[in-house]
Amino acid sequence: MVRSPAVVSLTAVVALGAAGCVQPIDEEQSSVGEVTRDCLVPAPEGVEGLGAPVSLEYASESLWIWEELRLDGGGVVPNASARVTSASAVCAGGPALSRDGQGAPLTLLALSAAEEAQNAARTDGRRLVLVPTGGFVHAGVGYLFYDHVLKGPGIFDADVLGAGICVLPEGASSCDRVMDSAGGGGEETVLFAPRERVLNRGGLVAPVASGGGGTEQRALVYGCRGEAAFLSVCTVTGAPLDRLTEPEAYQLHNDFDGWTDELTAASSIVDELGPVTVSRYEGEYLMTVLDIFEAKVFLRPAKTATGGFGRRIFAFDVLPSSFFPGGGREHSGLRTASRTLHLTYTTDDPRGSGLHLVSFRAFGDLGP
Amino acid sequence: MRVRRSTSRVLALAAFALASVEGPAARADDGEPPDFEWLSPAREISRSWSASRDAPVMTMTVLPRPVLMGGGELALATRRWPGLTLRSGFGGFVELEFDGETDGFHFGPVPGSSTGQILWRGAYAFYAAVVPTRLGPRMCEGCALEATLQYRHESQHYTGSNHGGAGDDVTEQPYVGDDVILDVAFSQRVGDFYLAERAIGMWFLPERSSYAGGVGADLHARFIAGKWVHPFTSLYGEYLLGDDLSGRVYPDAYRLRGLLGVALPSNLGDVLVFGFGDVGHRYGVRILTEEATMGVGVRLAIGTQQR
Repeated sequence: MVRSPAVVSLTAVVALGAAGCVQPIDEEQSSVGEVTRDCLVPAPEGVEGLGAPVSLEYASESLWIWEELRLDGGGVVPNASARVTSASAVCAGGPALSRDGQGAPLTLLALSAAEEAQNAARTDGRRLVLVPTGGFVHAGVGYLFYDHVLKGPGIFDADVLGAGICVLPEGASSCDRVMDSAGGGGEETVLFAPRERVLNRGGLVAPVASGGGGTEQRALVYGCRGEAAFLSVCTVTGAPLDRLTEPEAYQLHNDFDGWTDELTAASSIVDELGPVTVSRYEGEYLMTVLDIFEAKVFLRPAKTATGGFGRRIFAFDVLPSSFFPGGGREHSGLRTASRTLHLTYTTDDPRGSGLHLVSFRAFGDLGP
Repeated sequence: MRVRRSTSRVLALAAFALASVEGPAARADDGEPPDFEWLSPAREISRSWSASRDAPVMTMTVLPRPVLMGGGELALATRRWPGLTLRSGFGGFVELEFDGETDGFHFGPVPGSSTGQILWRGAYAFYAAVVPTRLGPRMCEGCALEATLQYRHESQHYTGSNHGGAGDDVTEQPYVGDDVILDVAFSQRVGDFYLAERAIGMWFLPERSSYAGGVGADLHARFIAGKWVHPFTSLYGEYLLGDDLSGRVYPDAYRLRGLLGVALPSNLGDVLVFGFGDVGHRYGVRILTEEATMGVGVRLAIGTQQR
């Protein structure tokens, strides 16, 4: 039986219609930049492995600080550091640790002799450690914030006693802890109670609005605190440049009232659970965010350093980790091109376990 | 004053163009098309049969997703000289697409329903088409040739929540934007078959689109022996080169689409009932999604002519 083409085609129409279906193939992404390098940073000689560093960002170098560095022989060096001047060099040869005359890694931020003695005298399995959290650099001098943490006896047991500041003079290899002179209590280095100031995300020196309608330079330190499950409030604390070692000079920023002493009166700049780093970028400011749940890095540009950070812009993926990726600091001191960012993180993913340094080149403006 | 002089020049040129036409009385009585006419079919070789979803024509897709396009392309003015016809006009569309697949049918003008978000895109284009009316038939009997240059703009959107729900962030999706398109079409009769082929080149304006350029090809073939029903097939393919826009770089995109169905011809145009299959990138605010689909639709191709 011969059927006309019209009948054949109509039959085809019906058949195709009956087969109406969607088969997903792929989901692509546009991008604001590209990863130009992702290296595993080699561990220096004699070091078992590298964790994620916090850092002080200088104009043309980055001072990486590890809370704990495990040596091949089984020893542990607290707060070891390395001045990193080049992303490609540290990828090729690892960081050059600050070492003493015998080649042993130096401690940048050390417990006092009294604190060491107290640790030795403890019988409860606890010990005081100093945990650097980041800071800023002004006129070549580093100002590093750190927490006094009572750790142990369990591996996850830790009580934060408060934060302190240490000052790292230009060219020095040890950071001088600032004592609280106002309290009159002697060698008190806990300058900020845990809920008094939040200073755990590093900072920078930047112009901010002053009372007279103009601007003034201030040292700004960012901090995030958990207020509820999955809610982390990030605020800015600032101090005039001539009072950087005075704890009472550090006040919290409020968008409407300026500077305040009340933590709860501070304006929230973002709600980010993971690490954030704020840096200068193309004449404005950029917050780099590592989302530890998604294992992704996002960028949030802003016109000012004290707020107005825009929505998250996806930048690149990092390798996931069995717990969470560690670190996540962006190192502006390593930038040789203004639009190339460098970020460190750690992972235990078998595809590349260890400390990664990722270089990311943004194509252009990061807006809207 | 400068503006006034420019306006005078434009008016003078327009008057000259109209004067060169023999006026409305030029409408021929001998079956030949008039030398000049306002509003008329857009092209010598219609684009309304194309498998491309960018063809501006009244179209409804029922499966796999409900898609409604209201659109058309018409010549606003046509001038015919011996051996040459020039058309200039406008095309445009608004297309609504449900993001979800068709999940129900009902009676009415839009038989498919879906609970998906409504995506929509709009486009307009100004074009000029030239037809060497003697060259085509000289190449082969019943043949036609046409070249068209158009400036086109397309934007894409979505309908958000009416109840305070959060919006979608679609900033990473490509923006089609503005482009200039040159296409060359050729049609011929081969026995009882009518064939139309079109080669397309696209150049997107810098900083006005997420794409740099692209190429496309269009084929339409129909069996025209019948008076009331013409089985047809249309095939379309395109490849777009991704570009950077506002600091963001976009990937390339491709699309292949085929229609198979019947055309119901009339003096006004064609009703096309068709099944289709496609593979490649979606449209609108889902361009970054690559998929393959099969479905069915209907189209009112108004203003088709010259077969």
